[in-house]
Amino acid sequence: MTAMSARDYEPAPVAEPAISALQPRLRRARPLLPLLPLFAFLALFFFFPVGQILSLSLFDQSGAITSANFAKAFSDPLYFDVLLITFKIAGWTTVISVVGGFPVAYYLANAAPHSRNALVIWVLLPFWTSFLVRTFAWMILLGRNGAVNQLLLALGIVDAPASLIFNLTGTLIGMSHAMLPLAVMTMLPVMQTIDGNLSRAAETLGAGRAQIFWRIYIPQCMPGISAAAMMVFISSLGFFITPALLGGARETMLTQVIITQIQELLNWPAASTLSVLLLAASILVFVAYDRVVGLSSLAGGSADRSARTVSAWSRILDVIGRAVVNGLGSLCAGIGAVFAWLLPARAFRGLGRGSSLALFLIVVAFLLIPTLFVIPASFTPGNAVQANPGGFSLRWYEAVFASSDWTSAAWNSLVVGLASGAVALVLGTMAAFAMAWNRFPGKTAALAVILSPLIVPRIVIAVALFFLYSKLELVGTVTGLVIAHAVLAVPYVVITVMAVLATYDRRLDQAAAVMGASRWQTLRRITLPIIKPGLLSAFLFAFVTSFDELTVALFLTGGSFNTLPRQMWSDLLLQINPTLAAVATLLLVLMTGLLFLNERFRRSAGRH
Amino acid sequence: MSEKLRTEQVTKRYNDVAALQPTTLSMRDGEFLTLLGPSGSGKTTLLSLIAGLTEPTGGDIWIDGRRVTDEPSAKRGLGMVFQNYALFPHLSIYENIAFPLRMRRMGAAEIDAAVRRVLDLIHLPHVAERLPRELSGGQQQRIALARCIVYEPSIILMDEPLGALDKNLREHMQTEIKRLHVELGITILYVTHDQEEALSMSDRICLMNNARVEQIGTPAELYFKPASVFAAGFLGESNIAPAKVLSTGTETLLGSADGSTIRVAADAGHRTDVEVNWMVRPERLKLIRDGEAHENIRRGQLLDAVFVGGFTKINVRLDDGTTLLAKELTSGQPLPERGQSVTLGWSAADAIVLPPGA
Ligand SMILES: Nc1ncnc2c1ncn2[C@@H]1O[C@H](COP(=O)(O)OP(=O)(O)O)[C@@H](O)[C@H]1O
Ligand SMILES: [Mg+2]
Repeated sequence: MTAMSARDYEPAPVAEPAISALQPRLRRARPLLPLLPLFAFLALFFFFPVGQILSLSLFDQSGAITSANFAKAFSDPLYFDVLLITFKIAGWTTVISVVGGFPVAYYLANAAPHSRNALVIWVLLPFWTSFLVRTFAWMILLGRNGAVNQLLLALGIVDAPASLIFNLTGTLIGMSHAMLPLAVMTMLPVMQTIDGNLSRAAETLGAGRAQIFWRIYIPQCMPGISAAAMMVFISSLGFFITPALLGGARETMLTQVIITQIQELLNWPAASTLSVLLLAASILVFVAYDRVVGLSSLAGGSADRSARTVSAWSRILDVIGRAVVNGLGSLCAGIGAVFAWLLPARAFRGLGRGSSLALFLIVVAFLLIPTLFVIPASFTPGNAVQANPGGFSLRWYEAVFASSDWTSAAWNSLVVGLASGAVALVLGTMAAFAMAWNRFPGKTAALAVILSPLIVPRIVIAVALFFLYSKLELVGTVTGLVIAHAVLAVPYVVITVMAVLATYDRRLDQAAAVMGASRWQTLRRITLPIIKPGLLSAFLFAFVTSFDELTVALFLTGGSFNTLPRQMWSDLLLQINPTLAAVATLLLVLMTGLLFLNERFRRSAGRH
Repeated sequence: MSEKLRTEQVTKRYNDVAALQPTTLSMRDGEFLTLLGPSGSGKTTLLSLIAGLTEPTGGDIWIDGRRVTDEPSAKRGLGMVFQNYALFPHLSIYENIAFPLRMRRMGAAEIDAAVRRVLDLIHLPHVAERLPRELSGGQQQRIALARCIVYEPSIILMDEPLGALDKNLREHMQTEIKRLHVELGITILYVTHDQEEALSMSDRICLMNNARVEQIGTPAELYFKPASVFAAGFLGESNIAPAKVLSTGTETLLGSADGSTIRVAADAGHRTDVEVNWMVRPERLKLIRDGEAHENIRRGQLLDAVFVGGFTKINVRLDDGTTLLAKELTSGQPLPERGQSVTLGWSAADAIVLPPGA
């Protein structure tokens, strides 16, 4: 058969030129179609309302354009104070979390991979436990007659009960407790990649152990440490639960003021202006971090500075950082020399390992133990919340199950969690397929769009959706909250599923296709069953995000429609009572169970 | 002779890089055709284009006389064995093999019979209920084969199917695949970068280099009549040296730089004074002991003689400095000493003229 006769076989259809020019482009764009539903969803329920609420700051109450809102925000000493206090609390929380998190990350990074997996659970456990439950535990512990004061009195450290709560101390304890796991989890990937050989090489060159630590190890950790600092700082800026419950009047943070402006004063321009400030502060930190360190270190790789144009600002920071590190290095060398003189080298090495274990245990104990105090408190026969109830009774559990407030709130939380988890899973999984398996221009931008609900402070999303929903009459409806929680959870789903798909062997799909399976059959019978553990893990994460969510629920629930966190929050503001302890205990057990379930999914996802 | 597969100027480009230059290829029913070539030469690309896993930049593909260029993979009725086998990890061996039959909506009884039959055929009737990860590499390989054979596809494509196996197992599986090919009369398009595998298994070999077909022919044709220096060098061992065409006719006469001449039996199709290469296989070079006559004779110094079992490799440095490798069947006769003067001879029919360049 010649080439000519082969062509005659089936003459190529003569396509119209316009269509034939368009068709290849359309065909190439087809794999990106699954991104559309998520983009449409985010455009409608995230970008549009957030843009709208932010733009309100440019108008006055009558609707005329003005800069007065910002002028007022900066000139009003009350707002200025709030801004300062917000930054001060976020700053201190960052310092404490990073300093406290470092030994934990250090110990985990240097543990054998097998035991590391087992130990990370102890950091993840508080990460998964509800903020409200943990804050409630601190309320029990830090009160005038709380367990901490009783211990301090018994030990004779103080003569009268110390004031540990309703002030800066209480706020910082609660916030550090909340943020430490995040700091550890952010530092860990970077620290795991640090090459131990470098330190060993330095040792053979005669550097003392302390000097190696400060001059060689710490600089290598810097990308991780700074990433952790940024994440903690940005998250702390938007806090309101902890300062409201553990702080005093002086510890009023920006988010609390926004809530007041809306819920009590219905002052939209003011709330909008403060939202703009909060968002601007978060983005500023983000951008500064990217300029100085590079966002790549967030993904676990060490920042590649040589490839970047090093700005003057980052060079200044670099010089300052180096000076500090060198100074500390010399200082530690001095201290190390004294130790080396007192103790032989081998004993010093043992001491180093022992002390890093001790620090790890102390911090993990700080993370885990306080929360456990809600358990005995829930079994009290009396009417007061006590860490040491001196009796046993199930009456508060009976009270919880008998109260329609609690049971309907629990039911609503369950429904909203399952539904929003399902919505986030479907939208997020589709998008993840398009993202993981295609290279296209603007992919980074597309990822930024998908992740933006994580970067924009929750209070801004909450206020924005409240504004949108009040026009759509969705406030106080299940549908409204499901949509809102799906917006918050969908970035986690996309990230999780993308990670699973990155390890998926696409030749399996090709094999199925060659054997006669359609795209849909391949998806349903091959791809989805194989990545099922990853999907379950993503769903679980989305569920927990919704189940534990208060900020948005605070605005979008109402009337007879209440969720569990919202119900807890109302009770906590009124008065703490043993019913709350019972609810907290139930939540603790549930979340722990879900975490271990998730670990099982994660492990079987890694097996194929 | 019916044509099973035809590619017509099929091409694949990634941006500006050609993964496959326009390629025209034809396979007849029941043929065993091997794509042979170094890594990156476009073998997998050509296979994926035929399977419909990659969209061509240009050209057409016909299977059984039907133009399939725009048809999805699932509609082409092909079978494919992947290098890593691509067995579905979540399905039992039974379900893996039944998968293509289920896609064809066959009845349960029919499926069961077919699965049992191919499991017997590959001598693994007892592994039906296991998961792929519970089998050894060689067993997984055979399951991948069975999963392909079971639905009697028009053509089976195999992309380096034995690449992950060790040498013994690989040779065993080569015989196994050949047996199935002969017994079942299937058409196989096979990919390998292992020249011995290609030579021993194929009806024809398609030699690929730099994203294009270098030469197509039977193993013997490729071995004895390579069309290029690349083909001569890639298959088997060869002695290749540059020369200039002195005269043409029924016999070609070549001249080396040092003035010596080489006689080649065939008309090389080159004009005089053209720079070419000539080639002779090592086993065609004879170490002349008793003054027998040869059309080409060269004198040199023995560099070394290496005994490698059935035959002996002899390296000789010619007076003009080039080195020739000769391969002789080990005969038990004493070999000349290292450094001793020796004579090599070969017939004009064993010398081949190759075009200049790679
Ligand atoms: N998806 C792709 N994108 C860009 N280049 C590719 C892609 N797939 C293959 N290539 C290039 O095409 C060439 C041929 O590759 P391949 O067909 O895999 O070779 P072989 O199978 O012979 O080793 C190689 O140079 C390879 O880099
Ligand atoms: Mg290949």
